[in-house]
Amino acid sequence: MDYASQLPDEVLSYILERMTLKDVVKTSILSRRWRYVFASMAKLRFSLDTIGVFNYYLDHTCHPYYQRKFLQVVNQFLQLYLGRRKVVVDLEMHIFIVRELSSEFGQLMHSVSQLGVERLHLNFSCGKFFPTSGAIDLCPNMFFEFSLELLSQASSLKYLSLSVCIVKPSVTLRLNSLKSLFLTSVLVKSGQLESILSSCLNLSQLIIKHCKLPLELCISGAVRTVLFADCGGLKEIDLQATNLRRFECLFDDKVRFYFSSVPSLERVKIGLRGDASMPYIFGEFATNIPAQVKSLIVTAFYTQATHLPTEMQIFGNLRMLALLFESTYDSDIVKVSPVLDACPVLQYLDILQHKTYRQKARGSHIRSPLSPTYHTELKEVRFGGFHGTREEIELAIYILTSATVLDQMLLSQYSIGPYYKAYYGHDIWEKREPERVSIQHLLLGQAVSSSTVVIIQ
Amino acid sequence: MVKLKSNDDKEFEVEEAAVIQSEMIKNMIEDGCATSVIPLPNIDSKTLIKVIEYLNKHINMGKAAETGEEDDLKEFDEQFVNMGWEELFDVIMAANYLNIHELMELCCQSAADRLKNKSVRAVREMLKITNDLTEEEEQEIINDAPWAFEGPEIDDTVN
Repeated sequence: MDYASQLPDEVLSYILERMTLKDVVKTSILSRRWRYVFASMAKLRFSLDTIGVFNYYLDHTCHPYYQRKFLQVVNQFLQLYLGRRKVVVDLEMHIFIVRELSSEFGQLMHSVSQLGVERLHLNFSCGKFFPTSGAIDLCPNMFFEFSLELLSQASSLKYLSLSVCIVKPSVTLRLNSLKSLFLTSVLVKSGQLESILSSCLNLSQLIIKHCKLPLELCISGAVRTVLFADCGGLKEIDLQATNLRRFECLFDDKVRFYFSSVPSLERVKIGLRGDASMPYIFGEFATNIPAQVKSLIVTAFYTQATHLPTEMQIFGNLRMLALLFESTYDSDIVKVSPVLDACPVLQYLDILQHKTYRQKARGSHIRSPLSPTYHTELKEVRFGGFHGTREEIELAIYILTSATVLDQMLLSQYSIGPYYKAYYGHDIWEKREPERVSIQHLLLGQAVSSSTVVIIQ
Repeated sequence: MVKLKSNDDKEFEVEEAAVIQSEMIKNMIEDGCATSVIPLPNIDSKTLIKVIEYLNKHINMGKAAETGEEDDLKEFDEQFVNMGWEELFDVIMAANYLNIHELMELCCQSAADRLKNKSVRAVREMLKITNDLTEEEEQEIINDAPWAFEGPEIDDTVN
């Protein structure tokens, strides 16, 4: 009695999806029943490991013999699928290939189109790590050039992820089914992203990570969410996307923003490395940001926190503001107070300190006491990474004495909200309970609103 | 408490918090179709006992992550899948029917691990498969994907 005979192909395919391709294909010779079981797999993963080859190269490349072998094996395998008229929902490929193998690769993409693939992940590297945008810039010829034209027949494709390559757009191409596009470690040359966007008229989500970008970019089309992370090279970005709701970015340098046409933009998250960025964000950027933007998250790294300007432009309509201080050094958190004054209708404020390094007071911090500007809308303040330092308490008092309708102030040693974790160690208040209670009393006594709740945890 | 009935007419009481890890039963409860006993015509009592054991252990998954009992749970999982092929396939069928994602994942991964790098002969013996292919058919299969049958011979043991 065959143990597996009771299992339908769909269930057996769950097991096969967790095996290497070599072991999977070997099941076709077990018996007549097993001959085409493998073709029920809806998810396919191709890499050198899964075809039983050990790659001894340490970088993202591999021996040319293996590149050819890989393409041959995958092409043969997909032919078996096509012969069974099967549909593949999700296909992932992890291989470095040289540009000379474009025609073999083209054949593979032809099969992908015929198989009705919905989610396609192409990573043109054998390595586990993604090269940085700087590394891509150093030797662009080392990267495979992926021509989007190869997907012109892929009418089921909804999700495309391209990694470690150069993308060659096409003016006439239309990828109308595509909803999400991910680019990771891709060298984007001038005009290319614009051309890609004009080919993908129904694109909803664009995510770009570790990419080397051209000096100028223009985001247009139907896209609703755009996210840039750890990208370099860019100097100016123009947003002209009428459906854009959410824009998040982390750029390696200061980037100038133009909000040409973003009537739907509501949520912005911005992080620009370099000391010149804070004066820019709270100056020109604040002036230009569209009035309907209600939520803003600003990330400050290293010494950026010490460059918060004292005079700021007004964020006239901002309801939600989060300030994330990451790995900041010797910063004086009280300097945040002008930011608060620049947001007259703010309702929710989050401040999160993560890995802040403090030096012992150099000289005395003599400063004239903060004179409050009244905040008549502020309802909730959350402060993550709060350790009860003098500056933190001073800022808390400033808020409490100026926020007339504050419901709650949460001061937590841990992270808050949906942001990264702030603190992992032991409970800092465990041995300082009386101090915690006295800070709480002190703060509560300062609140102008009698209904304010102060929580320290 | 929710009552489940196996196909050999045995009834089992399970806490609702445990049983809703099954998407199928969760949907039944949400739709108000789980008022009395839920009959499970595809699952025998021996398999159902195993599944309930898993559900009860994994009831507080979230809590375990907080209190550092993850290792304990991992050890349980390792012990849990330590069963014969026939039993493993029964649990997989039950997990698939009841739509218990984590259990399906655990058992399918265990099955895949056991088959890893095994020779064709070894897999046939482990799963008690009778080869009914003719020599010509076998050759055809090899010709379709010669690369899969090349290389140094692999693990020929059957455990």
